[in-house]
Amino acid sequence: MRHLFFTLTLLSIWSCQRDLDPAGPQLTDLYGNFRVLEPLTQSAPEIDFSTGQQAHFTARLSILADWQIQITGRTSGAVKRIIGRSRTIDITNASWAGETTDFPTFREEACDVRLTFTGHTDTLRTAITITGIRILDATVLDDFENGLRPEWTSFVQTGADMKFVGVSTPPLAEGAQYYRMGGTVGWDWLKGLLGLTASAFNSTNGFGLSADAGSVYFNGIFRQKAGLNNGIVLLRFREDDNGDGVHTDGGEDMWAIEIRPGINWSLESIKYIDLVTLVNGLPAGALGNGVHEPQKLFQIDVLFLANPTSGYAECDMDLLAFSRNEPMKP
Amino acid sequence: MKKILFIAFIFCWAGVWAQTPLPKFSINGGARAVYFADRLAISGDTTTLPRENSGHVLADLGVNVRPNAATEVQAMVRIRNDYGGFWGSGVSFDIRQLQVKGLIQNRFKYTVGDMDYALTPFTMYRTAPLLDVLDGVPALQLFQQQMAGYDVFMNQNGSWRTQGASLDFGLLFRQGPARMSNALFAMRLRPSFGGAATEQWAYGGRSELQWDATPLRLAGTLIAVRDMPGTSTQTNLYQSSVLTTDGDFGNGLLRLHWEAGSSLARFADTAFTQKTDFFYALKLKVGKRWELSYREVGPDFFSPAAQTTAYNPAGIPRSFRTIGNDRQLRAASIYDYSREAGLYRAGWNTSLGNDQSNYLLLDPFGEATPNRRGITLAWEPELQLKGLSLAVSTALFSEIRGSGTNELTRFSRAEINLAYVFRKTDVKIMYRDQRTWRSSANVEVPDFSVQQPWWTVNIGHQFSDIFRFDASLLQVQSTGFVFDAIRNAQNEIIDFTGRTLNYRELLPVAAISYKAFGKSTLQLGIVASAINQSGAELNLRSGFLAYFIQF
Repeated sequence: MRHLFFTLTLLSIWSCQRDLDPAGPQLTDLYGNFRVLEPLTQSAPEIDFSTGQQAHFTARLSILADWQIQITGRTSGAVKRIIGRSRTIDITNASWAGETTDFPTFREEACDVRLTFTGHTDTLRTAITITGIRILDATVLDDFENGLRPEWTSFVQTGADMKFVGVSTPPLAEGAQYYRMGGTVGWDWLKGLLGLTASAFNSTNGFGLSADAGSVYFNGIFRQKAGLNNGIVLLRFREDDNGDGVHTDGGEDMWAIEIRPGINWSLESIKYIDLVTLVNGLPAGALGNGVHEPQKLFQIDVLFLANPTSGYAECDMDLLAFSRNEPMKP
Repeated sequence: MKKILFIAFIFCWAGVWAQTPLPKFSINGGARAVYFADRLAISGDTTTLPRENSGHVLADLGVNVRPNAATEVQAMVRIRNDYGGFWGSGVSFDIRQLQVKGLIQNRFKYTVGDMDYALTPFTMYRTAPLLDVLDGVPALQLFQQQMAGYDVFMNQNGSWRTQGASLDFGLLFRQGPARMSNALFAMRLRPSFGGAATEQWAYGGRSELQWDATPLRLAGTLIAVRDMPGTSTQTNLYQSSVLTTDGDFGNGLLRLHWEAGSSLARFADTAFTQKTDFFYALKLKVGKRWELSYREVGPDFFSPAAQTTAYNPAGIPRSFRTIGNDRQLRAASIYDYSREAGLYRAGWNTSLGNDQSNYLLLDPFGEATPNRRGITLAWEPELQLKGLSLAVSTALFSEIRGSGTNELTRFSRAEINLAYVFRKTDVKIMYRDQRTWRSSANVEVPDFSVQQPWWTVNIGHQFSDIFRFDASLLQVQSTGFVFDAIRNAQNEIIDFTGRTLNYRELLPVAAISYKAFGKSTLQLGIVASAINQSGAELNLRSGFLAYFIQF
């Protein structure tokens, strides 16, 4: 018994296995000379994203470097950026499925591809042509390509310079049109609202969403008119907790989120389970059973708000959609 | 089986209990009075005021109460007054020590409250390898021991000041080992501050077997550090365990000492990074003059209580805190470590921190510095000349795991200590040559090559039994090209900073001391510190008057 302690100590030493790979980053990566060993190439000159194809880019460097690939659509001006830190650029770190970083989304068009490096002046170039655009894996509520879908109900205040219309003036977000909400209402925060019920949308309970609130994302692309910052887009998600075919105000859950868009198009994605109850813009206790149940989603409201004393307000939105398991990648 | 078990609990507490009657109440403590007149000179600096004077007087008043033969209570308060702080302002009162210790049934010794605790160099030991250089500068060493070291409870045995409880007891055996001494301890390292931090404790123990018939001693030590769950909202908790065994065998001509063990550290990051590794160290003493040792400390061997240096290399001194026209924070130097308690650590670090390339590369974290493997040889020859003594040592180490490359960095150290006493004058010279090198296989990467010579010279003259004069000169230097490792909280190297090292620190010191009583010293002297770093010069000068007394 007295020797148990020493036996345990020796056993614990013998059981250790050392990792003898060099510690830290390779010094050759930090202090070696930067050289391009293999030039930038694309996996194929033409790519059809509509069939699920992916493009990837390859290059090889002499040392570890921070790099950025920027793909720019020659017609749309859409931009996709891929960044990384490696010596080798390949399918594992530089693949592209047609998504966009800076809106608008890509069209069927030729694209310039540029590879640059932090701290080094070298720039490598190539080109790729999109022959089919990416098909979204999402439940699209509206892409506003034909104005507002007829299934929406809308209410617009009788203020000054009211705009609740489809617009095709660049800059665009997705496709050829987006939806604009704007106006001056000096007596009310609400400028106008849109409502879409599940029954009107696809005659399916809960818009056909999964019951797993942690895997459902609501997505939309928003921006605000340059020079303004007073517009607020309030999204409300009304549930039919008791399954009686209606949403009872104050008795059933109504989750919400406020979006204050910037001046550039930006994708907003929120996980359904992260939605909260808002009363006058502040978090409050749940109104219904307090359980996030996307499968019981009854109606979605889009409210456009602005402080009545702040004057004219204007926000644009595009591509409202639900995605599964991850944020939408337009 | 029972035959070989203990025949009695034993305990000997330095003969304090029962044998020698001691007063039930006594006063102990210490006092000091110091005054520094500092002067700074940096060429081109038109902003920093060149003079700073500081000083204080303090008394540590301890009360030792023995209410009965088995209990002792020690309490100590500190009263400090900085010069110029009359009428209450600048006066501080602190509790310096509270401790209760005693015997249970005359068999178990317990200590509760403040404890100075040390185990082995790989489990719990307050390492301070840089302070070795002060051995050759008695005036600065006195300051380090009586001011900075005294304030943070540094002791010669490498103990850490902690708060908690310990229990010691011994066993005697009829056969096999003659006796077994055991120690258990638990220490609270960090309170939770009402949930603002995660409470941290250390606990463990040590058992030691001693044979009488054979010259053998065997011991085992365990120390565990744990973040306590539920004391804060944190769910990622730090854990560390170090388990070692050590012992001695032999006596007289050959004596072997060893320690071996392993560590397991689980860090409080979201990835729950876990590191485990082992070490072993062997030391063979041949006679009184030769000593050969070998040690291997794995790259992932982490022992916070043994690898945390007593001083904080990243500390910023109080004296001339900012310097230069751009008000840069001044880095601490040996000059500052000799006198400022604020540059010392009161607790253990769970991470190693970055390299300390200006001073040390072979063993910046003491004997338990990880990722080292090597041999040391020490020799003290017998010299014919009376009054002359010589000690020589050499060490050759290398990394076990490469840093940023498969090539291993190698370290060498050669040290010579020469002392000569002639009548009332003594001369002491130390020279330490330290080199670090690694050739780079890639021509684009600079070679790692650093030379770090240290030397000290001290000439002392004992005018009488109570008066002594010392004049000392100390220089440390680092030149070459170094790759400083930058580590994250999990002790992983995340980056290297390559830089040319050109650092030199020269300290001349002259002091006259007066020792009227056994534990008191009055010292008057001057010290200067000339630092040259990559061509930039910083000059500090101080005149000092200090009085220390222990009672």
